Amino acid sequence: LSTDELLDAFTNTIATTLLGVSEEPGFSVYPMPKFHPSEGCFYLYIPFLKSVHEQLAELTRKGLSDGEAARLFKNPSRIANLTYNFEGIRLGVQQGAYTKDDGIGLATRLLRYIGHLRADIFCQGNRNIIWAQDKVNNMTKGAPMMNLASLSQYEQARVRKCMGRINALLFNLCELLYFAHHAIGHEFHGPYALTKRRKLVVREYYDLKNEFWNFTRSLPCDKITTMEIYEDVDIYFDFFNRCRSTESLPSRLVGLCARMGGFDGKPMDNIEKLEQLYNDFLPVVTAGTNYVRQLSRRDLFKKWVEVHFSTLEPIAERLGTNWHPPESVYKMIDETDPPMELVEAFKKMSTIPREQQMAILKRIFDPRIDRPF
Amino acid sequence: LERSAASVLLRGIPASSGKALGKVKVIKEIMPGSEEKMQEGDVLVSPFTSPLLTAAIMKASAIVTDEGGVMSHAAIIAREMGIPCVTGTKQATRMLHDGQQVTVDGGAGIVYG
Repeated sequence: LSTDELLDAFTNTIATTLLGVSEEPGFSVYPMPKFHPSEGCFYLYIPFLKSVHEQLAELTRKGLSDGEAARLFKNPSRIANLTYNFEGIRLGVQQGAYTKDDGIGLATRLLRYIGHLRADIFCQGNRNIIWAQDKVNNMTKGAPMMNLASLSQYEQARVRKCMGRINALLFNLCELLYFAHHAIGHEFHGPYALTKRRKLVVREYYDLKNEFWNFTRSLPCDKITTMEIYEDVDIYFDFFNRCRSTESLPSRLVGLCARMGGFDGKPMDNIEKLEQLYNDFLPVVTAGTNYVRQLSRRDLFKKWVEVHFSTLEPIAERLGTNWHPPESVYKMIDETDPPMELVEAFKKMSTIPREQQMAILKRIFDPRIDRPF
Repeated sequence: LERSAASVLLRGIPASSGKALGKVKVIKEIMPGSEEKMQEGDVLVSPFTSPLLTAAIMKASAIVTDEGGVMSHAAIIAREMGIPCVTGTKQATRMLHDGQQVTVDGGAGIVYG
């Protein structure tokens, strides 16, 4: 795809995705983290995007291919969640942090990186395909898979309830750590067809222990991976790795392989181990929610900035540079309130015709456009 | 349900399928300890949900919210847990009260009393 084709496809995807949400009541309600994401992004626009731009350019100068650089981000949905910041590229240009061409280059570079990590950059087919069929076959063939049909009905119910709770708990944990951009902490991929009726969904939760969130030190592990086999249910993933299904998922679960610590980690291959995993995580997540509740908006803005910068850690390690947020960001948070322009624009969105909403959203996230309104 | 004498209390968006019977626990504000009144199997009724309600959500047999749709936090979490969820009812926190016995039909988006 050319630069224009790529950015057209991106702005169409993000506008359609956000519009799908804005049609729902409560689009302007953000109970967590006490601010609208666009307010948080305000503090990221210049320092974070500038840092991303400079570090990625440095990777290229050092001879890393786009594919190698993309893999430093771990998974495609992490990059996809960073594209929410594209609404701020023009601000960086206006304030001289980088040129307009640099801003457009940064946006297209990140989108191309996604293309190195998933088959369909924008998940237009509602699937997030990361593994080739050979890999699907290899990974499922040797895995210590729990076959629910071999269990009693009582045991099946226990496994389904527990696995459902584990996924809900880990999703909440990701949202607690990474706020509205929860897919910085997880990649759900698939569905991969196994048979006519059965499909595989893979879930990778990672970087659960984050240096900016002290409560995560008590977590029993930093990564959880699961391979889940479902029967007779349609499962969809969008660009931002949000999952939708035609039925509630646990009732359709027929096979499962869960591991602590990644794909080569300790298997949770019986009900007791799964329940232990849930029981180990729940109090830590509960302690995390109690901690987050007492943080002020400014405290939370700082966490928001820190967890976004933490996505640059593998890149900075490769370059031997510092990935932490600069002191100027903390000063900015202490001294400056975010503008309400975008928040107000999002709130008003539901009062205008759909075509106009689409057009405005496309312009907001398009780095080629100087003034979106 | 249709054959029973149960009356329709609320309609909203069908966000996660399944049916569940339980006692209502209304949590209007997310404050320290606000989830402590939730017992295992209660129906969580809230303006909206967030990760800050994790402890309450994990005990719920169903979720009903005033706000949100099929991609809201409550809906996503309920589908993962396999419990029914009705979102966007506009008035669940006003219409329902603590201890009230209700049946939530997440597939139809209806709360029966």
